[in-house]
Amino acid sequence: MSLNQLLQRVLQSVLTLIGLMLVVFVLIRLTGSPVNLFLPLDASDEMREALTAQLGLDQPLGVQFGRWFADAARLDLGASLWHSRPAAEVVLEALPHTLALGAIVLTLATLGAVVVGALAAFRPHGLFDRLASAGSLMGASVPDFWIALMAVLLFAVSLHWLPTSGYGGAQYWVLPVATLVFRPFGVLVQIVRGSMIAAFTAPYIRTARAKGAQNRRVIFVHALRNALLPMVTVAGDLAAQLAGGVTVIETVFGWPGIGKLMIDAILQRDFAVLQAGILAVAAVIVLINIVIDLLYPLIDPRVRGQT
Amino acid sequence: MLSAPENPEALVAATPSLAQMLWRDSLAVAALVWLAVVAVALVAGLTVLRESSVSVQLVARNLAPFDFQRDVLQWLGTDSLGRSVLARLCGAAGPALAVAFSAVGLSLVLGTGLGLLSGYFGGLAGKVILRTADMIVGFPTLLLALVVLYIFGPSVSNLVIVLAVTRMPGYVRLAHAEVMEVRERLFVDAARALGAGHTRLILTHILPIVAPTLLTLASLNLAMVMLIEAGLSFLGLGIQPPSMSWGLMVAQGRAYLAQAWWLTCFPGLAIMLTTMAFNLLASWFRTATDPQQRWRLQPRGTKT
Repeated sequence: MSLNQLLQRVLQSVLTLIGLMLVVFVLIRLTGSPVNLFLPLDASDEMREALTAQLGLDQPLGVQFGRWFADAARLDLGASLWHSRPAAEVVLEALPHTLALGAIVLTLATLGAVVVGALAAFRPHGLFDRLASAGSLMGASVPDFWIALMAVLLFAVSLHWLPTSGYGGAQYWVLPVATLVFRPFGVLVQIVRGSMIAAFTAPYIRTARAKGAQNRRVIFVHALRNALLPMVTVAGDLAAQLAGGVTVIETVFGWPGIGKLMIDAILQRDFAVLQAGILAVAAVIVLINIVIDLLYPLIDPRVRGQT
Repeated sequence: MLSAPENPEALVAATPSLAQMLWRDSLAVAALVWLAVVAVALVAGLTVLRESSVSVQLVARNLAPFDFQRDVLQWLGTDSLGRSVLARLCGAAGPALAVAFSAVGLSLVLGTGLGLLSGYFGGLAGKVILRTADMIVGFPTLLLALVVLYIFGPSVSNLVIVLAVTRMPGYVRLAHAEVMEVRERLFVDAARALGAGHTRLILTHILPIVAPTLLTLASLNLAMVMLIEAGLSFLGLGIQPPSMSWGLMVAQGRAYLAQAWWLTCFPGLAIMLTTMAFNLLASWFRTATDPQQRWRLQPRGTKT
């Protein structure tokens, strides 16, 4: 990808983000005013009007968005109504907790899927393949909030091995990571298995075998490279899905991440935090997708000429 | 699909019917059996069990399951109001499946229509359709669904619309890509040369070729939409009480997790088995409709 194309891609992403924020901006203002929720019930009309004016909610939507956009360009995302701090600060505080969770989950899922998928593809329809296929299908079908509750019941309530919820040392990470890893793992195993089976029948693998390469080398060096491209392709979709899964799981485990922050922001009509949160999540996903586009030509030389 | 093999005479003898191929895949059969069970449960939930799924019996609160001495309806236990878990599971099957099928159906029809148009005619409209689809697909579905449902209120119709819109890009992109390829094939040119109009070309020549792929995606999406609906209902933004849904049942059972595990366990199992069944059938359907893979489902020694 040339620098020119990269710039074009980035510009396109920025436009997409602006479009998304405009939609979100209009949508959340339809939910009603935060003023009534924030002020006590016996607040006078003057107080309500004063707060509405202070928040700029008495202005036309276009003006409100213009102001927000101009501020956002200067990295000022407004002040949170409930935390009475800059929204950007609140969001940036929560974001690392979620990113760390997501990174660990995706790394574990990828590593596990490569090993399990490769071994399964080695003898298609063998015992291990059938077990792995059934397992990955189950992983892709399991509702994450349910497996989370079942895990809490078994490991926290019954066995007292792990805490039920909260944030802290390693023992707090086990259940959220374990429950989130199921779906990406299941999806990735099927992809690795499929492309490895396709690779094993390809002539270049036969050549590698014929020149006496070890089985392990054939699987993990020659065939695996072939599986990388489809894996990287779905990684973007998986990251987008994970952002949703994280919302549910963070709520279950009381994880102080961005998912929980946004659910709370929706319920409290904390517009600034909600906008900043959605912008942050969307920016991360857009960034991941740009990185994926940059990775393509590194993985597959055939793509180099085309992009 | 099966109706149009490339070399009809040679394949007729070797190509088993869909039903025969289904029978050879024991997992697909198991999936169908489970879906049949769900269908029976759905009908029962709408008719015979309608009363018992809501009848409160405070004397029989939180009864543990698997005590076969008791009434059949209490075999899977009772909830905090003494209502039968079995009857409620059957009652919840209806809304859960209705939402999944209507959302997937809606996105299949709309997405395929838009994809066919953008792939066939191309042009500026085609580009706009494709870009919009790309935009929707990149964003966390559940998160946007949350915001939209909170704003417009969590009703069943809103749920269906939100789920359909967020699932639509898949069909648009797939239909677009397939049509781009099929459009250039010889038989389409032949039909065009014989004077077939756009409508006829799209509906009778192109659509049948791309349909199996789109249907496979639809059955995969059934599973995914069921999971998302369950998640939204669990968060309180999906199906609302007094209506029933498996996801909602998990949420309601959560408060009694330590005392009554069966309230959360069984509805989750129902969700998992049903989504697994859809996923299994999707993978079977993909194999069965792919001429290069079909041999996997045939008796040994009859490779085509």
